[in-house]
Amino acid sequence: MNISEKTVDGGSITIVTIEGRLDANSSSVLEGRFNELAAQGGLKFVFDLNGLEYVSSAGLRSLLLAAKKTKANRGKLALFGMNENVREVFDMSGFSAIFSIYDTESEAVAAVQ
Amino acid sequence: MLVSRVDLRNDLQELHRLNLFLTGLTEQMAIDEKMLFQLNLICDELITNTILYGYEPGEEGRHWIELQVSSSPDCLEVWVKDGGIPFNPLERGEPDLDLNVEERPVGGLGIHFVRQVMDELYYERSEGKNVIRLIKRRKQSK
Repeated sequence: MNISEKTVDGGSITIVTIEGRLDANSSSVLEGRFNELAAQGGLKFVFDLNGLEYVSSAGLRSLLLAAKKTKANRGKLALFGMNENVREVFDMSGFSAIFSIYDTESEAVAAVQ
Repeated sequence: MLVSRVDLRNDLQELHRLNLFLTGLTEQMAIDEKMLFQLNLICDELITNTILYGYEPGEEGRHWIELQVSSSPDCLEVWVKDGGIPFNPLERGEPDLDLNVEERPVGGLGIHFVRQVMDELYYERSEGKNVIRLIKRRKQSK
């Protein structure tokens, strides 16, 4: 798994790109990185999942923790670009209803602005 | 019937080898891309559970988990056997999927996925091993 970040909207929104396989091996990496970004004061996040090939329940756990932390900090989190298989895992878990999910980056960015 | 087997150590790094093993079966067992993803998911969930909770601390990498996949025209059958502590995943309760972000617990989804994806699930404790057998029926090609 690879994680990279960029900021938009004058630095107020962090776009986190998650690529590869998000499973029990890599979920703690995402959790750690997100906690750092949140500790730096980040409140508005967009996760770019275009390159996310695979997610297991351990991977969902790290995404849920990010959503919980953002909610507790009164921030916003939106996801976009998930493939069909990843989308089905979200559907099976009920996560499709608790995350804000968009097709494109511009829609996701607008949702957290 | 085609049968293929791999033995994985109780080490999370083995999830990579799990993916390679299943990917290697797709052609001969007529597993399409969606089925591959789902098979990988449910094997990952069961094997990750065993690796994380099946053995005493410090035992990492010292035990083997057997995975066997067999293919017939009607179905795919998956066997997972491990010598870890007795654990029947079918006794796990279903998670509440309607809770909001704050209320939602962070675990309990793995077995739910296995139930969702597979058509038949069996568990037995046999000769000191957890034996899980799962069946996925192939869709009628009409």
